[in-house]
Amino acid sequence: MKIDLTVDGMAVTAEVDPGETLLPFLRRLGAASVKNGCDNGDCGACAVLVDGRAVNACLFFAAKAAGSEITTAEALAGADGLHPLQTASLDLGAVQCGFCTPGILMTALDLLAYNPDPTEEEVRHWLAANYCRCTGWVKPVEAVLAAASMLREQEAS
Amino acid sequence: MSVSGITTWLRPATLTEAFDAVREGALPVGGGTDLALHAPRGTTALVDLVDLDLDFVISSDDGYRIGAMTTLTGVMEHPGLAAHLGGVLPEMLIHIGSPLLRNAATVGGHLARARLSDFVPVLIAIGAGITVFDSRGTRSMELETYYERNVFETTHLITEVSVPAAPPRSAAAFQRFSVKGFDIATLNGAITIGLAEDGTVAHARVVLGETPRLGERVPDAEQMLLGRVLEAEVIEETIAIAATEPFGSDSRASAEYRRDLARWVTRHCLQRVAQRLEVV
Ligand SMILES: Cc1cc2nc3c(=O)[nH]c(=O)nc-3n(C[C@H](O)[C@H](O)[C@H](O)COP(=O)(O)OP(=O)(O)OC[C@H]3O[C@@H](n4cnc5c(N)ncnc54)[C@H](O)[C@@H]3O)c2cc1C
Ligand code: FES
Ligand code: FES
Repeated sequence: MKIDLTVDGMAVTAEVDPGETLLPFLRRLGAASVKNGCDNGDCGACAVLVDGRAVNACLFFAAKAAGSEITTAEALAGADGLHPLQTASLDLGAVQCGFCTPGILMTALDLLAYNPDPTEEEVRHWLAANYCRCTGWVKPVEAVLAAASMLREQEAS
Repeated sequence: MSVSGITTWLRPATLTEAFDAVREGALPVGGGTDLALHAPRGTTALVDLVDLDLDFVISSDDGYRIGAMTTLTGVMEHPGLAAHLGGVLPEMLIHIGSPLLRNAATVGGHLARARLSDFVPVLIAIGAGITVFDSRGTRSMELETYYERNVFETTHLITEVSVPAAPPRSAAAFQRFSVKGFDIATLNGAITIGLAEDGTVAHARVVLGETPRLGERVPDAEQMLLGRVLEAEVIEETIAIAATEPFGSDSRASAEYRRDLARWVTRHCLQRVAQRLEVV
């Protein structure tokens, strides 16, 4: 079947299998940041935004996204450089192998959109389902908190 | 996980069309998070309920109406529902999967599964009703009836869930035990208590779930609580009655282990309800 949707700001018309999820579909479109860590809803490596909310791409039917706006980590960096979540992740050593990073960034983007000033506990809760096998989560949590304060400063100025 | 063998994806604009598709064998899609993992073999058609205007929360003096396509996040983020009976809904929903899952999973999809649920005990404890559409038209019933009479196994669509207004001076609490945070509960429970003017219990609902059956009331405990004051001795009596329920064994736990968990779950629920009612 054919679906129309927006992926990272670009209008896309694409052929999808009615039983296919967003994970293989987006990877086929070239969004390699959407990672397949488990294909089971457990690891969060596949997180993308559908109409602004972060979901597991591996549990979300592509056909269901018809008419929606999808955002992947590929769209985070803009003309004026990296997104504060990316800058903070690099500066604070939150990226080791990097496999979990896009998923963490997309989950954090949703958190910060709805809660611009989260507590450390809230960030830990949100990232609990984004498995990171390298960092032990300490640095990603610090990076999200740092990005939150950068974004609040940007908002204020 | 992609599902193989699906040849048709429907997106009808009316409930009648959607129901006709279901009658012809298509499976309704809420968030699709359960279907993506567990669609029965041989499924060939899916029908997305997204265009049926079932994503809403409406509050009135009678309580709340929650559309079947409302996501679990939508329930958590609704200020009235989030605060209802002292906050029992977010207290429970935060345990369901992850924010990523709750952003997609819907109330209707969760309830139609009729298995492994933290949501069902809370909804039964707060007196929720459910509205379904089937060949007889639209009808509403208690959520308990939906499960007891196996309505969930019939050909139907869930359209909404109702949550009655809180009884006077009332609060509810939820507790679950799971091996790890992300695991499905080994046992869970939810309790609602409402007090009369004189401080005695005028309304009580005690529910245990994953026993391993889906959430069910413990009527003997509810009866005993009525007219009593929620003090230490009464809490101990409730715990003793909850532990006499028939528990079963499965891969998660033995019946004996669940009996111990039921004591622990009931104690935590009642203590938290008492705190919320400021009676201890
Ligand atoms: C990783 C993970 C962890 C989880 N952890 C928990 C947990 O800790 N606690 C817990 O309680 N649950 C847990 N769950 C279960 C989760 O709550 C369900 O997957 C989810 O609620 C299903 O909602 P959905 O809208 O995506 O359902 P769908 O996949 O859309 O549908 C599920 C079923 O309901 C049918 N259906 C859908 N909508 C309707 C309707 N309106 N009327 C009639 N039938 C309908 C579908 O045909 C299907 O059979 C977990 C799931 C996952 C994947
Ligand atoms: S690949 Fe989707 S959650 Fe792991
Ligand atoms: S950086 Fe390697 S899994 Fe997180």
